[in-house]
Amino acid sequence: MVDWLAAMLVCAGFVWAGWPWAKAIPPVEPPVAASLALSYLAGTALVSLAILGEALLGLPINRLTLLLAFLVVRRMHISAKPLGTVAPVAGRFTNWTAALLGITALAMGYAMVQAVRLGSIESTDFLKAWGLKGLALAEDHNLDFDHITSPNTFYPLELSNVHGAVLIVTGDRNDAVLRLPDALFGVALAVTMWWLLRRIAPPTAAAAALALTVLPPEFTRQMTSGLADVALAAYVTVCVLAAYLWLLDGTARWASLSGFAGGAAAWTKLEGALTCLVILAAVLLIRRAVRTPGAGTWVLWFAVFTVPWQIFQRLHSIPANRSHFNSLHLDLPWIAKHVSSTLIVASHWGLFWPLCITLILVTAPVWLKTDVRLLAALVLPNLILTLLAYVTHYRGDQASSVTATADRLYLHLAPSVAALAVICAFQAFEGKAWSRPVWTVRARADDRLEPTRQL
Amino acid sequence: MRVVAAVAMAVLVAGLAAQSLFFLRESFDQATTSGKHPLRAFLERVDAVVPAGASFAAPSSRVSDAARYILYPRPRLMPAYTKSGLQKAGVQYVIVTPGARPPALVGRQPWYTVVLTTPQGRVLKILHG
Repeated sequence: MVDWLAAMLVCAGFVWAGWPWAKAIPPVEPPVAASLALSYLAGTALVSLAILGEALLGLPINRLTLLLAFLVVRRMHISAKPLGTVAPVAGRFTNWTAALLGITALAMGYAMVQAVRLGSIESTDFLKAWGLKGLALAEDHNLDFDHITSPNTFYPLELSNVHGAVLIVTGDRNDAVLRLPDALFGVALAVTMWWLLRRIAPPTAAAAALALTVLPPEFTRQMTSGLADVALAAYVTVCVLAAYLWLLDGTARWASLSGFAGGAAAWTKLEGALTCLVILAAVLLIRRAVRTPGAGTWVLWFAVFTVPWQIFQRLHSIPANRSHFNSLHLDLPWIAKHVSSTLIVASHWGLFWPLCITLILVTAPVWLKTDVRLLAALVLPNLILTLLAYVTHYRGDQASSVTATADRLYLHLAPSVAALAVICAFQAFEGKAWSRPVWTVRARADDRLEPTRQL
Repeated sequence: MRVVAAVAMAVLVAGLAAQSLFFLRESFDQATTSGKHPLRAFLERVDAVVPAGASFAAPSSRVSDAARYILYPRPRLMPAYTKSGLQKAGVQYVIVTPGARPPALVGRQPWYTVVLTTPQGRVLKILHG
């Protein structure tokens, strides 16, 4: 019981440390629930990064320095004020909306119950990487993993540092409590996704996208598995949706949120770096300009999370992934066949992937004429490029390897694919394009809100 | 376009309903499954018999990875599973599971003693010198 209270305290600490950042990074001030969710995402990313900073300085990571990491993150926030507000897309909040939000809340509640109920964690990658490195941090009070003799030491550290932080505070090895911070990434994803989607789509569409995201058994299962995929999904989803708002807006306003999430995704899992760089490339291609307003901010945020870890790896001779890129598997039809046959296994994803792909394809004649094609340009390339992971994976030609990994490998793309599919369907159903987000700029003198042009 | 819209919405509604049923079925299955992990329970018993700081090895890579976590910070070694291989590498304990039993570690041998025997596996103490 004490361990659970300590884990809750650490999670509350992440929210506390991330709170000012959640207010400062987005160009608009999110409502309380979204602020809490964003605070959790910002707090976990930045406190885990601060732990790396302490390790770079040679400090031992113990309760005192952990507290220092929380304090530094809380105090060091950028002092940007929200530029204004963006009204949610107009639409009625119907019984359908309420029902779909109810389903989402039920799925999240179930995952939280599982987090408390399931006990210690036995997932292979938790024992090999995300849990092991957290345990090593808590036991050894440093991030020197040379003695672990693991091929996974090059994995980014956000989740393992979060695990380590919880174990340092609890003071023992009860890893059952680590399911709590992991599950909260899923809850934070759902809440943040709702907030961002409401700036893009009417209430029922946003609620349907949310329900579609959280209903696959794989999603709720991975929320408590001790692995990094749901955390990665949270950051990638924020990166995509903020990038879409960035494109719709035409200014640099949403770039910092997209870049922050992109950097945090890269700090969570290697796939996050590649996925979010593809999103940035899509933005630059759509804008047809490398010097797109906001691109510098995006890259800066990305560097904040990736450069320190690269430096640390060089200083501590942590080898890069040696097994990847050793061999090439160019039989793309074979890879596509095995990945798709894995993704249609009902006990993992239900009908999620066939459903989403069908909706996107069937409605293409409609959405290709609307702004939704910009969202498609941000989401669909990663769907295809993720297949390429198996081209260079050392076991990419083994059916058992593909079957064992494809479910998780696509999880971080699932929320944005769900959002795209549902928005495509609703756009087709309503038959007309939704209005673009309307900005209301905050006046400096008296803090009044003044409506501005519709972009 | 109206046909496309109707088809899309019908597919979405049916899909969400089907997903809800999948969710309910899988949740029920997960909720009724025991949370006990046999490998972990076995390794926690191993943790109790292997002294702090002693090196260990396990022929099964799955067991070896799991043991490295449960037995942390004891050093994990990856030797050849023969008498000379284990002694040369300085392995003190070997965790042998039914799925991965090298011929040299079957039965009883004079160069090791069995310190734990369970249906999930055995722990052998390698005698050096």
